[in-house]
Amino acid sequence: MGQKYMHTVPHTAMPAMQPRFDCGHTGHEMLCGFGLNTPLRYADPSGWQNQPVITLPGGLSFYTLEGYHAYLRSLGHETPAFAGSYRYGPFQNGFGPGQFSGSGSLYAYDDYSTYDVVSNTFGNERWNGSFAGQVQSAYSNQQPNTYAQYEVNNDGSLNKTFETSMDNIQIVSSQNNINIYYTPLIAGNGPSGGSVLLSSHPVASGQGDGFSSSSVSGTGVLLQIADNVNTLYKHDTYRQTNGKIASIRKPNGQLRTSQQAQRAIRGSRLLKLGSFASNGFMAYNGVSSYAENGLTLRNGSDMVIGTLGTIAAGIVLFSNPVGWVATACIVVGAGSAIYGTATVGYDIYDEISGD
Amino acid sequence: MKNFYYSIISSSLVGAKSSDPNSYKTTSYVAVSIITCLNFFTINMLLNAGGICDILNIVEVDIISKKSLISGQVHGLLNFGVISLLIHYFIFFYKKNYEAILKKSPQKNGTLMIYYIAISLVVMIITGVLLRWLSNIGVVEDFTYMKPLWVLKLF
Repeated sequence: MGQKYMHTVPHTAMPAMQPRFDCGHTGHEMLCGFGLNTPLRYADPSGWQNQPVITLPGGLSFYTLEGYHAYLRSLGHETPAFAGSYRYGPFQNGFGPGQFSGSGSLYAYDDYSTYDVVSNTFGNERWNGSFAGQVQSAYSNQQPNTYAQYEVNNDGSLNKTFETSMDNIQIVSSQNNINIYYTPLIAGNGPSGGSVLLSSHPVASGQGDGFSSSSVSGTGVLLQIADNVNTLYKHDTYRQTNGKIASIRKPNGQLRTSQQAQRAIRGSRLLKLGSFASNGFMAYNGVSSYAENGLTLRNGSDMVIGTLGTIAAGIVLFSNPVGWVATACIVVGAGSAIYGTATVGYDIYDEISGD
Repeated sequence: MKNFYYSIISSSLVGAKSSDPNSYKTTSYVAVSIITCLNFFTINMLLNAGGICDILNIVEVDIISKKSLISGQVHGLLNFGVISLLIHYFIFFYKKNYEAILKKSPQKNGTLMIYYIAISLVVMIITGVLLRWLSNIGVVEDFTYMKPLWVLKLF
């Protein structure tokens, strides 16, 4: 299981929430934001009817997907391995047995910061079986064709931050991540771009991830220093509601201001872009030097490391990686950083010594 | 071709927006510009090998030493990057064209952009290696650089 780091407030501090959200699991009930009608987790603050999301043929009912997956785990049906992906298609008649495409595993949440993976064998039953229909039924009984997001105020009350038709929602899973996209339709023909409303693994940009923390190659020495400062100015989580940064948590659980969150995220973004640019031009320098002078250890390294570093930075910038992909990006980024710094140091030494 | 390029830009916009909805336009703009600038260099190498034009060298850079990494990076930025940044400024921001691109070429994620990055870099390396090999066996000439308009030298 993944880590649970988001619940910083004890249950008892928000008594108003307990009857509504205490489904027998710790951690996710006290989150500040959640989605209604999300197939990743069902919660309806305005009309909780205690209706099971899934009822197995033997009569065993589950009121949350988390509970269902806890049951699966107890049976050994879930594995930590990733295989395949699935997608919710709002252009295929909404929820229903036929709307899933692709094959492989179905993800499920344990809470908003962790996830579980259902094994291929069990997951395949869902594509064609009754699972999707049952989930659809449960959702329709509450708020048909509506997706909404809420945040929890400090006094335990709820504040709706976003609401739209389910037709404007797409669920897209990538390697180890699920994003709920807001993709409004254009004249019923297709989506107009999209933005992520909820993510199973939102990148904590404000924290300064491993890649940007080591984003030094060539001209990136100053960026390294800046990012170290940013990392020391540590943030625990951040959250996006309706496309805006609403709050960010300090390590002690207190909320930072929206302005601080945005500043941290922009800073981290700048560092990633700096890494992307310096790696790209490192590759340029390697190819240019190679084509002019022939292969040397130096320009060969520039080409290979610059290329890998640029691709890794591109993945970080454009795909929100988690799991082994993120680890690979961090390793490549760190390698590129060490190489770039050493190269610059060597060049300066050469210049000073007059070689 | 134009639509495909717009799809790449749209993919970068959607991908960048997934983790930073505030400055995704700038992120996409800079990243696409850099990769396209490397593609300009690839095309420039091929044209130079064909004897059509010289390698772009408007600004000659010699910051630490002429063959240092920083000098090479700044050379790429000033000669190819500036042109690319200017062109893409109009592609992205002129009359908020990025909004039209998102509507015209909708994408689900940033995968296409990542492929574009990887393929562009690999093609650039293959081109460099190929031209060097052809130069060694005497099929094409070595690179010829245009006379610089400005020399940037710090030390």
